[in-house]
Amino acid sequence: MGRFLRVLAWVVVTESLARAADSSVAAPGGQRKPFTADQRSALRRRLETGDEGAVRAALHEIVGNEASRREFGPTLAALLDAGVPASLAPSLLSALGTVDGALGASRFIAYADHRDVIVRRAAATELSKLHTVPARAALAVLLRDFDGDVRRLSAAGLGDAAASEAAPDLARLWERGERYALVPLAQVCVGAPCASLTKAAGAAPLADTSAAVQVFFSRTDRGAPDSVKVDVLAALGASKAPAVRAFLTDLSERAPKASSAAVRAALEGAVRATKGAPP
Amino acid sequence: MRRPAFAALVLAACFGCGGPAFETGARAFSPSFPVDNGASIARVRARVAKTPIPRGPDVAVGIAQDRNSVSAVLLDGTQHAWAYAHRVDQLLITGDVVVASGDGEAVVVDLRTGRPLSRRKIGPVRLVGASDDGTMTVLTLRRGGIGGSSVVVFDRSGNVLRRIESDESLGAPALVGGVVFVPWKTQSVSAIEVTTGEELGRFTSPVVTESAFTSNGSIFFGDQELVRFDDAISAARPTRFALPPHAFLGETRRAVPESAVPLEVSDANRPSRLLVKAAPDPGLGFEDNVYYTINYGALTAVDVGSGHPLWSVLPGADAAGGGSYHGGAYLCDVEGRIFRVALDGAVSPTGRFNRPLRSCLVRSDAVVTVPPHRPDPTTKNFSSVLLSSRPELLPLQLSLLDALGKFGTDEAAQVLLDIAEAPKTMKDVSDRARTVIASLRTGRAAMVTRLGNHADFLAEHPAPAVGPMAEALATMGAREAAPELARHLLDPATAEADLPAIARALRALAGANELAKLRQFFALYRVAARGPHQEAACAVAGEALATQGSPEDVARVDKAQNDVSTNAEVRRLLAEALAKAPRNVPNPSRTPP
Repeated sequence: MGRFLRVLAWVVVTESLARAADSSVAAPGGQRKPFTADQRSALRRRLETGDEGAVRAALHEIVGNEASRREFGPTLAALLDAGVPASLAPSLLSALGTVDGALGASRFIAYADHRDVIVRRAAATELSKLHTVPARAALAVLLRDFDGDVRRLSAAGLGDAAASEAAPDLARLWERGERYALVPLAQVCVGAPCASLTKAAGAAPLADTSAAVQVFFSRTDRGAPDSVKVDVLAALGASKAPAVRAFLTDLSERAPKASSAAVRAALEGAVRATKGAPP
Repeated sequence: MRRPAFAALVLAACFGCGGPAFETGARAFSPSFPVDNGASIARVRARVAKTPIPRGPDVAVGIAQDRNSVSAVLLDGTQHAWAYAHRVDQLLITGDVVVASGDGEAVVVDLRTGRPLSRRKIGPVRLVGASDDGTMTVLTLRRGGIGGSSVVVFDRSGNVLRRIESDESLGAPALVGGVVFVPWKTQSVSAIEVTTGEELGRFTSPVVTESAFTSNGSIFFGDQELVRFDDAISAARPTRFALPPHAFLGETRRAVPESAVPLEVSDANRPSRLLVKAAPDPGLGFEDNVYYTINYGALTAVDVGSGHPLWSVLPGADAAGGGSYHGGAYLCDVEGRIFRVALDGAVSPTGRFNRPLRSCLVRSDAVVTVPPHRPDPTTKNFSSVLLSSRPELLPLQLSLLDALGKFGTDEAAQVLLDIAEAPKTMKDVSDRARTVIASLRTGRAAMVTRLGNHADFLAEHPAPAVGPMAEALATMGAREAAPELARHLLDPATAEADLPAIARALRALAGANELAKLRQFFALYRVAARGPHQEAACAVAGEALATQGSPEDVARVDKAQNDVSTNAEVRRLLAEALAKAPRNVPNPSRTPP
């Protein structure tokens, strides 16, 4: 018994110490105090050594210092302009995205062409955060990449950026079996490309379509036509899968207040149609 | 010692079957025949010219897989088919009959009905050739080890009308208007009257002459080169023509139609067969100016004049044989299907034998009134062969690619580009297509257009063969290609192996905008370059910047060369290149704004 208590006490102590350490490292907002001039020049020297370990450590410090990190933007951009190893490029792109995304935009676009797929994924991640026209154009190109993760990241970025111009390509990706394309498509589609959602609701498993349907029904803009919503509900209502009734019930409860009477009626109809299925 | 004597006895008995005893052709093939400067053969021409040479039915004749029957399908639209049981070692079509030999017997079968018209025991001899004029049949037979040949003429009842023995090596005969034309010693043709056995005239051929045959209503003598028996036969320069020595022909250059000389079963499955037909009088040369080759299952049409292939198709299984006609060619496969392939490459099934075939012959003298259409080379015309993964077709595939490289047209370049980038192409074929593309000095517009294609997951486009195009376009000085080449240099889907060629092309063709792309490439890979292709391309990009770029570019490259983080191989290659090509005195027109 005594031995058990000793072990328990040891576990409790080590756990609390670990938590304390974690909270000091990952304090929200990072380090508050700006770097001194000496610290800045030391960090720049470390960045320019070309030594991967030194550069990574410096990047960690820079990104963690919210007060001073922005001034390192030009240094990081210059490093990327001059050329870095493929193994280091993702960290630098990520750091530049955190430090000064706008300054990094042209570098993200340039590195989106890199032959190393990890670098392209990092560039797509950073481009996804920008929502600017050039970034959207670059992401639209990356939708055609032969790497699935690059396409997935780009599709998500285009969805978040409400890039309606990408809807036809997203619809084609879905038709080619790329399941990740449906949610971004639901986010951005305007008019005809939204019809892919109806096809998906009728054919694909609910697990693949539920998130996209929710996103689409949360939209109250004119680009998401009621007719498509009604068609999607009809397609879902035709299913007798138990999970569908629960999903539709949940959807009717969460439906935006601005939903039209037709959509509300279709929702109720779809719920009724699945009544045979257990909730 | 006993065997030759026994064989001679058997031969004597066989040749004598159903006819008079041995005759000696004292007058025919005589060395004492007067030298008459063509007078005698001119007289024969005058006599024979009045006799129309009938065109037999269009027909496909096949030897069954087990060699125990000969069968035929009429190609006159009736699809009438027949089979006749007989061992077949050799087979040929002449006039209205097919002559088959096997088991020491020759049989003459009516092409329209399949009814045997006559049979002759011939013994253990080789059938050199045969001809039939509708009333009688002539055979040339050659003895094996004993030497010498025989010409035997017999009627529909099998009665021997004339038999001539000779110690000479006699060739395949032609029978027209009661006169037999027999080549001998590969140089002379004797015209012998059947009724008298008298040699009416002699033609000393200017070409090697193994055969005399009728085709398209005319008589021809020759082998690889043909002489037409027309009014010029007695002139100093008779009408003669041959197939030029094209790559497609290899050793197979015999201009005699396959159906006119005996097809030996042992030869039937040889890998390469030639289908050719002399044009009718008064035309000179070959029908449609095209010949056809059969390579396993592939049928290829080749222009006689240029040697350029018009198309190559794989209509069915392995080919059993075929024949050409005015307007295209027929092909039968070993499964017994018959295909008609028009001169424009269109394939249509036209009939089938009711059995698998070992070999087949097609003879068609049909007159086509609509002029056949000769196609431009398109990928469709070659894709079935060039994309085939059958290894036995590789020599043909390589020949086709080499030939397409010599066309000098945009269309041919398109075909090569399609083949080079097709995902299912065999590696050897793809590699040869790329080599040929790199050597092109034509097709510039086609290549520049093709460079606009990029590998695209969404559109399911593969990457085009950019490297070979870059080499060709750089040699042609095609500056208009530079923007797309620059895009391909930076496209991660571009094949690694293509990068050095693209960079070299841009070194020659780049303008200010492309230098910007080279700058981006150099920045991305001067440190990160992996493998020899990226390293080489990066070094060339650096060299282009240093020799043609702005002062900033020169400084950038110098700095990179002195930077230990720059890939060591890139630095080495760059140093080597810059030692030969000094750094730039900046060119304002190339300096980016």
